[in-house]
Amino acid sequence: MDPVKASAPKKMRRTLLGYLPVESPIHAFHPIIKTFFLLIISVYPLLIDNPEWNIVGIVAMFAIFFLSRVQLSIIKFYTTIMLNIFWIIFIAYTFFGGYTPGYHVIARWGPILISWENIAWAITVYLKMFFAILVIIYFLSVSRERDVILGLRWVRLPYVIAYMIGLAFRSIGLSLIDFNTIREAEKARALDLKALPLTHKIKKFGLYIVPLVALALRRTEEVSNALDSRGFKFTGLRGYRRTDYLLSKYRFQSKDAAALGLMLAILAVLTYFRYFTPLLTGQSSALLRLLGSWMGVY
Amino acid sequence: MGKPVIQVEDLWWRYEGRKDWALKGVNLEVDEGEFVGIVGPNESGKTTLVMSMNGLIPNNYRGIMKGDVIALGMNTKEYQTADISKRVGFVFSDPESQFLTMTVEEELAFGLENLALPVEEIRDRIRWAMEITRLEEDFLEKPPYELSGGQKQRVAIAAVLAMKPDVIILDEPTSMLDPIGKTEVFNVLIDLRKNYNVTVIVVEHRLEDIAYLADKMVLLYNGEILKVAPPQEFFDDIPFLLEHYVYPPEIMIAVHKLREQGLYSGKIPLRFDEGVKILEEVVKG
Repeated sequence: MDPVKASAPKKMRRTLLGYLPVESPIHAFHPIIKTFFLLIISVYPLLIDNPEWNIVGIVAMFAIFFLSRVQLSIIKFYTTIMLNIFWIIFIAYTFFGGYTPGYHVIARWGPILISWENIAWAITVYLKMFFAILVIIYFLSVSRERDVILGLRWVRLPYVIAYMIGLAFRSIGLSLIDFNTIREAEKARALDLKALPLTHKIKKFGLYIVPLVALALRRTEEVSNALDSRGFKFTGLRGYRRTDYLLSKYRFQSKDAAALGLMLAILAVLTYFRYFTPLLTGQSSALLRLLGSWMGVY
Repeated sequence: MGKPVIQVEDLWWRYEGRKDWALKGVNLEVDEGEFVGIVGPNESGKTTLVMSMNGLIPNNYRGIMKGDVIALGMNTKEYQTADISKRVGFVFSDPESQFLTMTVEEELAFGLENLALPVEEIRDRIRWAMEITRLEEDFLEKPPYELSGGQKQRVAIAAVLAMKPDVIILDEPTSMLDPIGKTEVFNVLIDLRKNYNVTVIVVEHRLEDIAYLADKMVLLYNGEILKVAPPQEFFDDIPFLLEHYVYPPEIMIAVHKLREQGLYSGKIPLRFDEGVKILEEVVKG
């Protein structure tokens, strides 16, 4: 390998969650495919109760992350959230999941009944959620604001609405810049919320919020001036059609159609299995049966 | 010079809720192809004046307006800012707040899409504007807020330039930039001055750069125009400028002092190297 090439830093493209290498295969698809991915694949876990199938989905998602060259370290950032969700679901379902006659009670602490069915349901719900969260993280890891906007334009959403959503993304960026400026200014005057206990943090938060709102109002005026100064009218361009230059750069190709077709086909199959067969139900799960027998239920 | 493109006629403007008039009976004419520098201390009304030239005032601000501003035949009272802006471009001082999209390419295309130009022409104009502003092709995919200050301001200028307006107004385009960024922006202005017959109106504090570029300098003070003159004449009266809190480049002040002491009797130099030459000649006797 050419040593210069080997040592050259990878060209990256900014996404909503971080950076993605320019040569990622996902860039070969029309941006709308990313939006469809989110909309269609996130329905899959809703149709699947069987933990094994959700595990298959999770593994498939990791494979897609890998194939798309998304840095898996992104997922690490969400480990704490994932664990918190697990504990919340586990406690909520196991201890406060209620009781229906016929449930297999494993333990009883006063009024609290721990039943196998509630534990099984906690596992089922968590795996569904894990799968869905991975889909969302993937979408955010490979998409840019521009992809979202292009998707909205592609489905022929009125330009003003699509643009307003784009402007909302832009406003988030501006607010973050302003927030950092305020935080640095506060730090420079010896106020560092990091060092304070939570109650003090909440009390002092006004010191951030008030200037942030004031700056946001000023930004509104500036952005409004910039919009007008670039010939933008919220009423649209009467008498002629606004050119969509960005959308014209992308063509919906056969590979996009194939990807969309595959996603829809899997959705159709899952829908069929969900409503016409027991395959995706929790009762058909070998894993739950194994766990149940280990707990002495079966 | 050509026909007038901007005519400010007895313009008075007072912002709502303010006691004082920001502009007091301003009269100014800018001709086609002219490069005009507007200077003055803070709060003298410079931004208000240039915002009245593309219709931001009175259309986007509340206040009382007397007099007229005619931009390329359009009275700003009768036309919307968006319509005037198609022919009178405006670059704001804060590069950050004028970006409306998430990539440089979208930013450059935004105004052109509003002009409803064909896709091919948009592509050509983007390339053209990037060339003038010396922006690299790689920037197209980048979010503008990830660029350096000078690059950001060049993107802002390119976005306006791409619309090929007859007049470009730049309101303190270098005030928020570091020295490298300022130089980058001025190089673009120099290029515009030399190679493109576009009317440019710049509000700027960096007089050493504006002095030799401008065809006409305007001194605004306390809402009134005190002096309109070609740079040579404008900078000839250094005490008058200093009295009104306009600080000419050090080299001009140095030569002015030599003139006061009778050691030099020529013109005030507009360029640094001209000033150095004068100093050398004086030293050599």
